[in-house]
Amino acid sequence: MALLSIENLCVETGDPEAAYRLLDGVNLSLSRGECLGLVGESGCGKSMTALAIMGLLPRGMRARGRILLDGEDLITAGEERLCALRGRKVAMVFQEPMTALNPVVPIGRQVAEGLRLHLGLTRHEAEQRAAHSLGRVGLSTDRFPLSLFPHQLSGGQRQRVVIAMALTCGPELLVADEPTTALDVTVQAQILDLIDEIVEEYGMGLILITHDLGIVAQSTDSMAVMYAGRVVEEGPTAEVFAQMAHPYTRGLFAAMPSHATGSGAATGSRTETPRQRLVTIPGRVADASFRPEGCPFVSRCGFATDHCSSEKPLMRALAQGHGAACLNLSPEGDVR
Amino acid sequence: MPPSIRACVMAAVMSDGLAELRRSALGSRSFMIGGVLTLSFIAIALAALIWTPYPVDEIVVPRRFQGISAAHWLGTDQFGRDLVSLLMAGAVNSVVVAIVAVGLGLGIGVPLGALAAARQGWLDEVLMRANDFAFAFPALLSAVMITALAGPGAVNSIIAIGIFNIPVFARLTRGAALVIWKREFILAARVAGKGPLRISIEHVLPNIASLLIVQITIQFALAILAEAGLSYLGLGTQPPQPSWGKMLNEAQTLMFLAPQLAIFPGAAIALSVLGLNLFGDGLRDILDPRLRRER
Amino acid sequence: MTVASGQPLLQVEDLVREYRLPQRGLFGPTPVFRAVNGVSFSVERGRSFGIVGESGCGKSTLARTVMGLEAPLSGRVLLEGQDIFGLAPGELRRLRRRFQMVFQDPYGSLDPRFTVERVVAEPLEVLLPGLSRRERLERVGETLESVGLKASDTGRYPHEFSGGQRQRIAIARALITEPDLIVADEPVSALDVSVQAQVLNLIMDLQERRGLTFLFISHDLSVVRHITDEVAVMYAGEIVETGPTREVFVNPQHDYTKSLIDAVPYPDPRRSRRLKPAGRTGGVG
Repeated sequence: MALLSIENLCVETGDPEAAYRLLDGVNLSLSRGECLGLVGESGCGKSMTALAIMGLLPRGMRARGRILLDGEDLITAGEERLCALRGRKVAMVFQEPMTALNPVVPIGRQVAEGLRLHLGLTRHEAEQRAAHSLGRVGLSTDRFPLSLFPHQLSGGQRQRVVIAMALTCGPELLVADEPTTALDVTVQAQILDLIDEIVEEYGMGLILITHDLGIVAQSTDSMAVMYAGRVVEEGPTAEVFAQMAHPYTRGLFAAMPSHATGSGAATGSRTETPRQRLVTIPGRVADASFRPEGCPFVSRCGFATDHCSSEKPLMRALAQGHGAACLNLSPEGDVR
Repeated sequence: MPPSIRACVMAAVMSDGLAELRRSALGSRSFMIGGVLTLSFIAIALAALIWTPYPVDEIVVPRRFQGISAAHWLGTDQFGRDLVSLLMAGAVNSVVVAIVAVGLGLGIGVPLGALAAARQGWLDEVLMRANDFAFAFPALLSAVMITALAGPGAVNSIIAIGIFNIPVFARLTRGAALVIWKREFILAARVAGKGPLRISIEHVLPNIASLLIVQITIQFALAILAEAGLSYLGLGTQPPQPSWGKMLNEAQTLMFLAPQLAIFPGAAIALSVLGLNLFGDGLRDILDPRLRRER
Repeated sequence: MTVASGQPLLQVEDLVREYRLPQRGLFGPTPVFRAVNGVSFSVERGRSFGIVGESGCGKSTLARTVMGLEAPLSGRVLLEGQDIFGLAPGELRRLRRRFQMVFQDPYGSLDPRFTVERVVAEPLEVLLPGLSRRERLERVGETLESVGLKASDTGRYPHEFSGGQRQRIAIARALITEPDLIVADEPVSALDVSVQAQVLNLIMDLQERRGLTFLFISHDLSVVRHITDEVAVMYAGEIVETGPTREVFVNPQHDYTKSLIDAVPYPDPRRSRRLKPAGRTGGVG
């Protein structure tokens, strides 16, 4: 059975009559030991999905559908049950390590908190386990005593503390929301490797949320691309990259500077070959209030046809577990 | 050509339209209740400038100590003066003293604070230490001491209260201005060639205006209390000019004979201070989310 | 565009900038932090020069010092041969017409209380005071159009615009005095990928159309690789490697440059870092 199975997740806000749909029918699944990358730009709903899984949606937002963690529906579980699960069975790593850590509490105590809460350990036992967790993430207590405060650590080190906190009770599912966005690129690589090792070692499932296709390519087994609250393309990472089906995925990939061939300047000389322009997706992401009948990408899509504005595209299966939500796909996965 | 004052004020308060402001204003209970109380208080004071039901300087002994009646809505005092008229005139007194005292604090404190934030360095140190020095003195007691030494009277009490408004505004302005100075649009203004004075006026002050406005309402309330306190002690506004504090003092000996003489001025003080505090709270609620939303 | 002289537009020589840190004790020397430690480079007219490095390497400090916003401990910044720190304040102010800046944070670099018109026209107030109100408005309108916005946007406020649009406003502000040099400090770092692409294209267009010279500072190697002619890699306040962009990226000499390039995640799953591919699972339910 899948560790996590999200079925038709919808998140709404506003008056029931004129509700804005922040998430519109999201379907995802994840097995133990698998890393699922959730990709998209701001406003696509990827962070909202993470919050929905954790039961941390802001007030005024309603979730519908099913989020099954080992068969248990998290949407209908009460707050008490969710508190018992958070930190114990499902843990989260956030983007900004400085705000995720309490600046006035030493790191040892912050890591030990979960242990005392969920496993009822004594202070001494919890401290020992915390020291072990911190050692596991590369902050061994001889160099990094438990009494250190967050501001005494660098950004990468703080993120390691956050990861240690997430791990202490041995969760089965880890949700990492842009865990490396605030970090330098060399530190980013280290943290991603660390998360990878840990997921491997503990046999956890990992949802890695990011806007960076490079990270998705390098660190995930399967991926889902989100746009305007919907999943528009999903499948094993290698498959999706080999055969990008949805126009948005293609647009996203083409817009990345590293993908393009780069500066036209030849070595040394003042050549005047015009620099290559990046392929852009025209327009910009529409407001959450704009959820049209048909495909949300229609106003920006170069391949849109008449029925795209009226008919909502459902996920169509292409080869090998790969699917895309577009009306104009040929069976081979090309856009007609 | 420097932009007009009007543009700066408009920018400070109305950068996202009247409709939005009205909506949040009507939604805030503190603002509404406080607003009503404050506006009533000010309206009464304004009205009293040109008219009171009965003259306040006329002593009509036969009518003394009358209770609530159709002729005298709140009764009369020990000299037969109409209480409503006395309260109205007292309101004028409170408002005038408060406006001038707070204005003094604002007019001197804000530029000092802005200067400290803009210049930094030793000037900042000196100004802030002077500020700390001023804060070390308990405001009301010091005001009492000043008026006792300089002689009682409305003018001296205004000065005494005003002096203690200066450090409050200086500190607030400096703290808030320092935050603004760190923002990137200040760097952009420097790149555009603007100097610190121009930047303080065009960029810093409009961005801290909401904080200042809220503080003004708080200081106003405190000034009214301070004035009442000084007048009660006989150090503030002198008779025959009516003041709420003086009325309270005179009512002391008559407490069991005519308690209304103490209750009504006391209630007037309490209501006006309450109204101003609520108004300030409400304003903060309205202005704060807008500040946060700008990011 | 003025006739190019043989001299580089911007020359930075042995620039050193220090910060004073909070004192340790009551007595003893105040500790200092050397943010920029003897940096030298030059930028030819019409070229795009990139400074790349991670956080804390001193690149933002360098940018602010080059713009004359902070005074260096030693070293010179020469704009067309003139040492900007040797000028009288009035002369420096006049020179600012020729070099402007674009900042990183689209949400912080525009005064939320200013209308778009005031924001974009701000440099004109001091640097081109001779213009009439009408002329100024015209210029603002033209510049807005040239960055892809509408002249009718002048009466609106920054919070009504998206991040990408705000950066365009910031670019318009930098362009309005028709400078020769634009220093861009992480101008696209806060933007989404697709918006970033639009703004980068805009920068490239403007550079070609107007012959602008760019000093482009970023931590994002892919962006720098795409948009610059020459690049300098900064680490701990010093330039560790410099050269034509293609060269430096294809054939990095310094170890730090190599580790930097190596760490960038490349969007090709075949180069995946995953230790062991997990069992085949379906994303489709």
